[in-house]
Amino acid sequence: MSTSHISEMEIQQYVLDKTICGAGVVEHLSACDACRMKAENYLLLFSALREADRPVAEFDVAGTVLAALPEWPVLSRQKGSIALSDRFVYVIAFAAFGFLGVMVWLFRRDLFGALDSLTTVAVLVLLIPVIGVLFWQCYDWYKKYKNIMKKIAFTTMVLIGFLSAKAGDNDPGRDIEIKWESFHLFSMLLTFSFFAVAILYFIKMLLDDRIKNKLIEKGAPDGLITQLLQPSVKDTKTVIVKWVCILGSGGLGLLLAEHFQPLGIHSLAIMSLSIAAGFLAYFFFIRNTEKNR
Amino acid sequence: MRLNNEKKPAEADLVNSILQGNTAAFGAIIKNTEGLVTQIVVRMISNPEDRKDIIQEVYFKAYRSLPDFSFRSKLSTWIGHIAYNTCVNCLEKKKLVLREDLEEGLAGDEPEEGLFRKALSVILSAEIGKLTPLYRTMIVLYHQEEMSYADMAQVMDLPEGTVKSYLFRARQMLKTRILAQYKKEEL
Repeated sequence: MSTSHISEMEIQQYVLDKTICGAGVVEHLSACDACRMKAENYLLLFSALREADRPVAEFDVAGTVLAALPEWPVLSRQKGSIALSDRFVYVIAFAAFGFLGVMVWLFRRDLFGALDSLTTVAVLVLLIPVIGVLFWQCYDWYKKYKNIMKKIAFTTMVLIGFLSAKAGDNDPGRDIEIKWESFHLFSMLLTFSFFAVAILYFIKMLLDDRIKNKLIEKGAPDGLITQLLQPSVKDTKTVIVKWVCILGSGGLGLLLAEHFQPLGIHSLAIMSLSIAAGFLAYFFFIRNTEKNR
Repeated sequence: MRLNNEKKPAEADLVNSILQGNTAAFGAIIKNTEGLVTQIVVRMISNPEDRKDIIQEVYFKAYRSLPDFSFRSKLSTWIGHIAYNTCVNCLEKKKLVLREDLEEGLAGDEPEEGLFRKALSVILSAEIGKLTPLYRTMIVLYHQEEMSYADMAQVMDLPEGTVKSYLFRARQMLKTRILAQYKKEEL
C-alpha cells in the first residue's frame, strides 16, 4: 500500500464511481482513516445534494408562455425544400430587379430621348464613373455577404439570359439599329443601377437586422452582436473616405474632361485615370488603416 | 444514472408537430424542461424578480429558434443552453461576475471530522448560495439534474475537461466551506 495519501480528485472519483478507480486507490482507502473520512464526507455531500429540494418556478410557466406565443406559420423541415431565409433573399432579389425592369420599360421613350441628345463620348464619360461606383460598391458587399450575393448574382444572370434570349428574336436585318438601341439601353440600365444600389442597400439593412435577430434568438452575448453588426467609428470613417474617393475622383474627372473640350478619346482617358486614382487613394487608406489596427 | 445522449423519437415528433402549427405541443416541451430551466435560472440569477422574465424569455427564444434545432443534442440540452446563455447575458448586462473566487477555499490538510445530516441540509443550502453562479449551476446540473459531463459542456459552451475540472473544484470548495461552517457552529 502507498504511504502517501491519495488526491482529492481520486477521492471524488471513488465516491462517484469506484469501478473506474485503480486498485491502489481502493486499497489505500480501505486502510487509511483520513482518506476514508474524506470519502465519507463526499458521500454525505453528494447524497445531500441529490436529496436537496429543487427550486420550482413561482408561476405557471407553460400557461404563461403558451398564452403569449404568437401564431406560427407551418414550416417544413423537408430536405431539399428552400429554407425560409433563402426564399426571402430570392423574393427580395427578384422584386428588386423586377422593379428595375418595369421602370426601364415604362420610361424607355423619355430616357432614349434624353440620351439621344448626348454624344457617344459624353455618354461614355458618364458611364465610366457609374461603372466604377457600382463595381466598388458591389465588391464591398460581395466581401461581406459572399454567399447571399452569389444567389443575387445567379438571379441577375438568369434575368440577363432571359433578356438576351428575347433580343435574339429580333430581325437580323436591323443589326446596326439594334446595336445603337442596345447601347442606349445598356446606358440606361446602368443609370438605373443607381436605384439598384439603393435597393441593395435596403437588402443589406434587412439582412443585418435578420442576422442580429438570429444572434439574439440564439442567445449570443450582446458584446459579440455589437462587435459583429454595429458599425464602429472606424468603419463609418472608412465608408466616408470611400465615398470621398469615389465622388472626388469622379468629379475631378468630369471637371478635367470639361476643361479639355471638345470631348474625345482623351476625355475617356481622363475619366478612367481619375477613377483609377480614386481607387488607388482608397487602397492606400485601407492599407494604412489595417496596419494601424 | 447519468442521462445519455440518445435522441428520443418522441422529441422529433413533438418538434415537427409544433412546426406544423400545433403550439399546444410546446407545452409538453415546457413541462419536460421546466425543472432544468428553473434550476439554471435560479442558480445563476440571484434577483427573484428577474427570474420570471428570464424563464419566459428562454422559452420564447426556444420557440422562435425551433426550426433551427438540428437534433445534434437532446432538446433539453439545447433549451438548457439557451437558458444558460440568457442568464449569462443578464449577468453581463448587470455587470455581475460569473466566475469570481474560482481558486478560493480549496482543500486544506487539516484532518476532517464527519458531516452530520442534521445540520448538513441547512448549511448546504446556504453554502450553495455562496458559490459563484457558474459553480452553483454546475453542482446542481450534475448532482440534481444528473446531467452528463458532455451535456453540461454543451449547455455551458465549455470543453468537457474544463467542466470536469471546474466541477471538481466546486465540490471541493463546497465540502471545505461546509466543514468550516459546521465547525464554527459547533463552537
